[in-house]
Amino acid sequence: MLGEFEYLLLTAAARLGADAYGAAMRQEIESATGRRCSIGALYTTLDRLEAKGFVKTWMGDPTPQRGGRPKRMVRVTAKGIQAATVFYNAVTRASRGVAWEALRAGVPS
Amino acid sequence: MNKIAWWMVEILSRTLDPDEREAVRGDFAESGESGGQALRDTIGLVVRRRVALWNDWRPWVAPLGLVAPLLSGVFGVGWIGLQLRTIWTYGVRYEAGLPLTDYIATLVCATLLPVAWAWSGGLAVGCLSRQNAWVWIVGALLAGRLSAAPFLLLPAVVLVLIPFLWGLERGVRRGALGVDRVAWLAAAIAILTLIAQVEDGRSSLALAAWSRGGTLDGRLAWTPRLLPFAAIVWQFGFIFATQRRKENIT
Repeated sequence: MLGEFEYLLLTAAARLGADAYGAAMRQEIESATGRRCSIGALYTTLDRLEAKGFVKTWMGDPTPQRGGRPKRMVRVTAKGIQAATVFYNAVTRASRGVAWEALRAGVPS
Repeated sequence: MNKIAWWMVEILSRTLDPDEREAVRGDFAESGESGGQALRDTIGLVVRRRVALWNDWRPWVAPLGLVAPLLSGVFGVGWIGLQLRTIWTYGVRYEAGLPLTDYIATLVCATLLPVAWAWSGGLAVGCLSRQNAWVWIVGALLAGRLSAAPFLLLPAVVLVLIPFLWGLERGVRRGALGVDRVAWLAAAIAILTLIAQVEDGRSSLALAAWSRGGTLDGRLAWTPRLLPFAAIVWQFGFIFATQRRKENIT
């Protein structure tokens, strides 16, 4: 089973498709969660996902807006899609019948 | 301040793999990070990478490679140090009663054995613990420095430290030795160790301390005789297996 951050990474890479690379995925995760995503967490989790066979990464071409430095490109593998689907289904099933917004409204802060 | 932070980012990121360093520096440039933020991110990544190196059994086993060099430092080097000190101070051999041929044989043994043990130990530590090897080296140096008498320093550096670092360098670079060469080397060191053991009747022999008390109640005590082999055999087994695997892959 995936971890929460692993799932976020896989989702960001899947959403970005052919444009998935470190900085873009980081931005995607930050805008989805509203929290800062550290480079350390991003790259070490990417390594872990790659070791599990959930993503494939390779070095792209250098670009001028990156100071002539290359991107680390990411592609979700079939195994990664399968793992993310399992995680998503588990969270969806576990959340069935629980209305968080309603619960939050009922709890005094 | 910003300049200093970027300078530190540059220095710290050198510890990362070249590809990762380029990707991370590119990400900073693209997202327009401030120097402070980039420094915090780089420290976070470097720390995570360093910690991740210990999530493996190899670096934890690597200190076993220090056993033989440290023991040879205690025993083989001790004999050489004693000779040097006696010759330097009194102008005579420490083992003045020994025939010259025996003395030379002992000298060769006491010189070659620590070198061979230290080199093979260094190779094993280097193979097992490439990026963390420095931790064990610092530990071994401190242990050696604290326990060694001043007159042992020179032989310890020449016979143990230098060969150990040489073997370590080969191990870290994964230098291909070839299975045949490793087998010959292992055989040579085993024979050398055996000679040191067989001749243990002479108190002057290198590593004789291993076999001191060689008889117990009139019978041979094998445990101290086998200890040197136990100290070196695993590292040759490991190096041999590594070389075989390498040759099978290529």
